[in-house]
Amino acid sequence: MKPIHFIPPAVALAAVGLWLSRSCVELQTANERLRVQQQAGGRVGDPLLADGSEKSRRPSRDVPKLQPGIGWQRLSEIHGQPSKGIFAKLELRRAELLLRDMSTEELLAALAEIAALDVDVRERWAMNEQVLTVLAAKDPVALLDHLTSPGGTEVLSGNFTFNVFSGWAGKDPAAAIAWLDGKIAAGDFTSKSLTGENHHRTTLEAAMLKVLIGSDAAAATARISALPEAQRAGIITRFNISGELGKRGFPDPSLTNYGALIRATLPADDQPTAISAPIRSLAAHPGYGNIDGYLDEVAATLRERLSGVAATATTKFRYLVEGNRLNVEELDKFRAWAATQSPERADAAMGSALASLSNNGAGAAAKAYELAVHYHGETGNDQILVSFMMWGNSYGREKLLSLAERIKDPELRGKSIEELRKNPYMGP
Amino acid sequence: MKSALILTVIILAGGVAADRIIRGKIDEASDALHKATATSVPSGKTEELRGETGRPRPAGANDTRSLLSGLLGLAKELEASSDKDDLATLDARRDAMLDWQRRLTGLEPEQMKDLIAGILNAPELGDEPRQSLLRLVLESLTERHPLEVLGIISASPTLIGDPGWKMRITSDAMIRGIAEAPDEVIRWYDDHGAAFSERDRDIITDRVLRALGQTEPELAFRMIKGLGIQDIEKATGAIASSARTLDQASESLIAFRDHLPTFGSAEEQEALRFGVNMSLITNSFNHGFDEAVDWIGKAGFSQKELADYVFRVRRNVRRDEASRWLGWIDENITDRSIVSQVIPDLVSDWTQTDYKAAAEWLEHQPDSDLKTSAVQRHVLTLARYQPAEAARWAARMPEGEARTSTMKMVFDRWRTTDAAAADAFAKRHGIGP
Repeated sequence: MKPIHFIPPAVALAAVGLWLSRSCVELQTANERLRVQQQAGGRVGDPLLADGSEKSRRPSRDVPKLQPGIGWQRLSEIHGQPSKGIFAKLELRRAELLLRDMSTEELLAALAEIAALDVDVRERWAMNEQVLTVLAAKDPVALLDHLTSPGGTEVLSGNFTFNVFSGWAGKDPAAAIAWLDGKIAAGDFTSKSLTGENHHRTTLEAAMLKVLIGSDAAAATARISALPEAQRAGIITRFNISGELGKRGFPDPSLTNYGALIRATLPADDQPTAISAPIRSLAAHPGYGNIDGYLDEVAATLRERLSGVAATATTKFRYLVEGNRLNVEELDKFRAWAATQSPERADAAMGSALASLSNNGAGAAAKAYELAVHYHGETGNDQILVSFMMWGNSYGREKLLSLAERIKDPELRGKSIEELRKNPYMGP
Repeated sequence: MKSALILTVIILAGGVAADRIIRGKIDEASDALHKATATSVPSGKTEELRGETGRPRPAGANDTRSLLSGLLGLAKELEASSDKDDLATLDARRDAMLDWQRRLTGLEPEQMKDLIAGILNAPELGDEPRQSLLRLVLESLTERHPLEVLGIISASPTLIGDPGWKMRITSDAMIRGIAEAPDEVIRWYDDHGAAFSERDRDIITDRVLRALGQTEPELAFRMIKGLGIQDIEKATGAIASSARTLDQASESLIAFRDHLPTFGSAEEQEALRFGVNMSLITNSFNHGFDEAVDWIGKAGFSQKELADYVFRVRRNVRRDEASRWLGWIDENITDRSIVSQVIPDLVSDWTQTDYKAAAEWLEHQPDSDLKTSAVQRHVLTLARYQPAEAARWAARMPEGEARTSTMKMVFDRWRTTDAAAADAFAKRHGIGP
């Protein structure tokens, strides 16, 4: 063949090669798409990705495998996640919907099933709370019977039983009172404690008080008076757990009733603490107007106002820390208000409340210490430091000794230093 | 020439045959892809799209236009069913979103960015469905490309409208990112952490530490410094309390001990050590007394650490485990000055909550100074409520200063409620006024 004869096959070969190479690219692309799709799909029900890479060995946060009923073990894992994604939230909602369709007996059986699981106590309570919440809406009597029976689910949220019972008693007080009195008569609230206090009864009486204080003060006083004296203060200080008192503005007959109840049922020594208990919720509001209104409405005595100032400082300062506003400007406002309530003890109350901020983290503790030093320097009032030291054990001996050395009164200074050195409950 | 033409025809015929085979394989792959996509796209009809070559693309393939079209369809369905709150709707919604998540997880970051732009610019989407789709896309992207997600969040700070979701996706991306490239996450947080409020930063870092604390406590402790967290006590506490099992608690403790020398002064380290020990030991008691003391025994706590714990958190004891706990302290704490303070305190608490059980335990204790101290606290706790029983116990105390002062205190207390009975008791035992 002449060289010219090689041209047609060469051209054909080049054309075929080009054509096939394009086809091969298309095939490669199609296969890659398929591979990606299969990998993504391959994760269904399998917590590991299919590629076996390092990152694929991480467990997936949401193992999306639906079960016909509620998978409690799976739910406990979801409750244990520090942050919950879309699918975790959908699974929680799904469990709620399934629970909503269950009968009382099925819900009680679910509680037994959860109790049998080997899971962390926090996740167990989160699941119990889901079931108990549905049961509370469906059949509060069955729920309360369960919770107050021996072996009933242990309630870890302080307000749960209180809220369920006060909710029911608010709608049907006669039935709630009959149920509670029936349980008392049946001896279901016995106690091994010295005060005879049974925590179920304390909670339920407190919830009943919440309902009666505004609607039937005489019945409220009668119920509390029927209890041993040692149990009364605990119930009275607990009933305002949801912070109702003082929220409705002034005047409020509930507040007058509350003051009268305390004076009718508690020993004089217990009255200031009970009067100041609602301040814990009132102090969450900006300013001091609500607290003034409340103290006036309950006709607080000077001693009760001092207790109120201490309660205000403790709560208010905590909120100031959380809002990053614990500073001289805010504390000046507090001192100006406290001076109108209890001029002699205002600074001491401030010192104690500042010391208790050591529980709010190292930053808050350091700021509180600095403010105690600042106000002592400004006012020369040794009571600020003395009160701080009384409540500041967690600061340790060395830091408190350096405070004690600032006390101006030599006698008080010597005594404080000696007490600090002898205190067996204090770290270095 | 003839042979050249024959060769040309053979080459062309071979090419056509080979192309047919390849086309067959392309069609097979396309069919398989189409089927796989069809099963994973339950909703959101996609219009037929044509590629640059003019060839029709299979509906639901992983190109961003068809994905966007499908996602918009999904958003419509979700919106249409938003007022329904029944199990069937929820399951359908979950299945649809799950299938979409599977598809989206396979995408590359650039495709995701295109999708996000498409979602942001889709005029037919309301705010809520737009945010739902963005969350779905970002959550899916977080699975395989967490660093890209962090980049998207910092480049578009207002992309995720809901602050709660923004924190959640950020913390998730950080958790995932730390597992593969901790230094890059640290660098990102250094550069962009300030865009979050202090409170949000606290929440994000807390979630990161708690999540890592459950699976990789060593990394979690390392991240305290890496992320520039100031409140080390709170951070170490968060990691310690994230342990769910005793095995996790052991891993946390080992990691904590390794990192402790890197945290602050000796005084600060002591405070941290106490906080973490307290958290881990206290949580161990949620597993029951037997497992807890077994774990404590193996955890390698020093005598000082155990004594510190026992001394400061003695009130954590469950009433029904009080006697076992008292026995454990007596046997395991060698510093008797601690034991002699703690056991009487515990007896006092126990008397308050179950005075009969406390009395029974005291009855069975051998005579010793420790027993005398414990009986004294029992008596003083009883005196306010049961003075006669308190007086009986006081009278059984061995002769000495403790007995004399205790009897006097019982008398003083009793006199305020029943003077005649108190006087009779004083006369019988020669207690002066």
